[in-house]
Amino acid sequence: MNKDKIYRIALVAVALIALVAGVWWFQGRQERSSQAERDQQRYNSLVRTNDTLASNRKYDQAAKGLQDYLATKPPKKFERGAMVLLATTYVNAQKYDEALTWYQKVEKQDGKDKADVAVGMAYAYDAKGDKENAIKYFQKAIALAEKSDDPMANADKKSYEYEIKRLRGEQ
Amino acid sequence: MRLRRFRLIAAHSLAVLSVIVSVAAPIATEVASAARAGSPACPVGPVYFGRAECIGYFSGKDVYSNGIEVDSVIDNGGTSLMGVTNVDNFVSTLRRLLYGSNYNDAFGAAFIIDTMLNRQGSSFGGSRNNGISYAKSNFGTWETRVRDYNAAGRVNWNQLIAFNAPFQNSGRSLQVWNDDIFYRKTTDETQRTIVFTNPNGTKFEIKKNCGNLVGTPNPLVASPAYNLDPDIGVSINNGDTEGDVAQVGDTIRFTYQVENSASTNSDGTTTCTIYGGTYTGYHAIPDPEDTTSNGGYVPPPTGCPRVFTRNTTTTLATETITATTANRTICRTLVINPYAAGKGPKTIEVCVMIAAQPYVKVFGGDVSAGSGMESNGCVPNNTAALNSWNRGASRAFAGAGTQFATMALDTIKDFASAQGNIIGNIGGRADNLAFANTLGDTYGGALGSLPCIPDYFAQANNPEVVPGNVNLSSYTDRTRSIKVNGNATISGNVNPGNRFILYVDGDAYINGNITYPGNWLYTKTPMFQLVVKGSIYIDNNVARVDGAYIAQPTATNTKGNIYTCAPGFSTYANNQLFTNCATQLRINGLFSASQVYLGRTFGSISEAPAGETAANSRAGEVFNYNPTMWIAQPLPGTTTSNAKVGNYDAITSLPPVL
Repeated sequence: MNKDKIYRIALVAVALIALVAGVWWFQGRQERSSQAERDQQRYNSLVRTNDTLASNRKYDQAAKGLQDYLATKPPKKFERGAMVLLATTYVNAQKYDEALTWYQKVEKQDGKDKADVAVGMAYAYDAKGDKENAIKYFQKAIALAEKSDDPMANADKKSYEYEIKRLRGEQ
Repeated sequence: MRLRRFRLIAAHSLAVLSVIVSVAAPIATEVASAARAGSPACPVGPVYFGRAECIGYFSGKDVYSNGIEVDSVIDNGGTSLMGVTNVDNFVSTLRRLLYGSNYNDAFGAAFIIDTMLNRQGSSFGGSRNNGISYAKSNFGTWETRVRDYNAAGRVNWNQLIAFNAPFQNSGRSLQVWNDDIFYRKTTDETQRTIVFTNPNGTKFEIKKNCGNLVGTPNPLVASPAYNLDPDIGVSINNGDTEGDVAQVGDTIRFTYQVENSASTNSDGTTTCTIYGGTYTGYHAIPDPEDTTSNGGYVPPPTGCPRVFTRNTTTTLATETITATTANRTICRTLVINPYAAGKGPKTIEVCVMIAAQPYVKVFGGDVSAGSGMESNGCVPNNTAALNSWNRGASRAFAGAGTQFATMALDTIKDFASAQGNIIGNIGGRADNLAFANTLGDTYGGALGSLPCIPDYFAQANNPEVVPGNVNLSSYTDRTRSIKVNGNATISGNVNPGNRFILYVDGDAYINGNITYPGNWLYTKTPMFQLVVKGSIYIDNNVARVDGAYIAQPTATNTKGNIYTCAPGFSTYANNQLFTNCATQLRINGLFSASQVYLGRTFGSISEAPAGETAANSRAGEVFNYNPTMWIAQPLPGTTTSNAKVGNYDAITSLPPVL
């Protein structure tokens, strides 16, 4: 067997391996892509359903749907959204302790303050009658707004300042 | 040549330059548009009320310039709409801002109002003032729509919403042009929000902290002009029984209906709630109506909320029950809400009494009403009526009636004639022996005149005055009448050989049975007549009275009544009769009175069989007019010229024989 023949065989083998690997990779990517689409669709459907139930003030049913969804261990980015939705649903259902429990879970998972959670917790504490904590979380929301590059951040900040004044009886 | 070439080149260059200059502006716009299109805040595609993202709603101007800068749609002194908790302060806040001096808030309020009314931004000719004018001109329409939504429960004034980025937002642009825009927000947010939900489930949402429209804003729809009325039909025994009184064993069907009398279908939001209550005794429908259920009542399904077709009556449900216990009131309430767009509930309640319908039976005699009384100048009572309960033609007129004739100067209602008679109810009639039967009424009535009733009290012929407690059993072979001046309490047997009249110049209270006991020779046939110038009260425990009982009005034309169920010298209230008067009273004789109050509640017409006899009668009062009433020689009356009675030598029966 001469060298050329050996090279040809090696080349064909490498090509075959590359082809198989390529097919395997492509199929995996397709599957991953399909799974991501399905996850997204499932989450969108959850949000729509939750929205409809909340409009009809069927908060208990909405909360159950969200908890069932969370029990399926969805991808992280959807899990956070569902947890925040669940917490706000509990606020609307006037179940403030449950709401705070879920907000705190998100807070812990985030590892840092985020405006949606801070404001949600502020309103939960407010509704619960815990002015001190409500003010604390509105202040967090203000601090986040000051650092935010969101075009509406300044307006949001003003509204939280208003809420703090209200809680302090200055309005 | 070179020069020329230069000129040519110069000319060409100028031409190119002029082309470049002439297209510079559109290219710059395209570059800006491309930049805007590529920005996360202003994606191409979504258009709201005729305006793309980052395009001024009123002006149509593109506010993108290296991004956007925005503030609240409504500032309201830094409070925006935070203080809004109900429809009244929502409307008043927007009115104040729209008509106020803060221009930003004025067109911010107009932005909300105009978009809620589905006004396209392009309709304002680029002018915010036009938008404000439009909002002012249409404020009433907008307010009506908002209030309609609120009344229909379509508004949540304080919903906490977590908005997942990216989501649709709006704001007032602070750069390029002062106008409200729609843009895409790229950070998560949680805010108190006012949410209007349309009948099709779409929404119009306004964040309270800034007045910004959020999500996909779908305008409010005008309320349809429907008009609904609830109704509950009651049918007892498939309509055989009229009215709203049923008896044990009867079937009662409630039919729940809603009529839409308008020319517009309802919007499908009206709810229908049925309540059911069972109450002991009589239950008057309260105002407002009962809206609670009791006794574990389970209402039938109504299919509501549903659309009620215009000019149509819709049956929601029917419910059939069987009456099982007397002395109950069964009520049903139907509440629809709203009955019209923007309106509240409308309620209807019906009740059916489950009652005994006691009746009276007369055997061997006639019944008449309306005769004048001699003591009162023989003035007839043209409103005198016979009134009881009868089951009607479908049940062979079982129930109240007499074996022979009925006569009344006014109506005869539910009281049949010729019951058990050979004439019977020939032809399916109840008035075969009714006088008169010319009205076409089922039971007859309106007889032109009746004989005058003698003044029996005036016939007293030297009676012996006795004390007020009269025990009839104490008399033996008595043929002289007795008299009580004042009220009398009476009981006891009228033994054979006794023939006398008890005159009472006052009221009489019969507190025990008065019977003709045992058997006797015709020469010993007992006879007892009670003639009272006042009223006769029969105790509720008395089960039998034999003889003739006559009550005449006093000199002042009061009283003259007979009460068949009484606790003493008084009467029971209507709601005490069912409990206290359940003993059957048999009268072997006759009654004559200004008015007879038949108070016994022993049976009910539902128990009355066709062909009922005196022996098996379930009537509350059973009259047996029998031969003792005429075999025994009456006592001679006074010898005055108005004497009406005296010994007779013979008795015969003459036509017409009823």
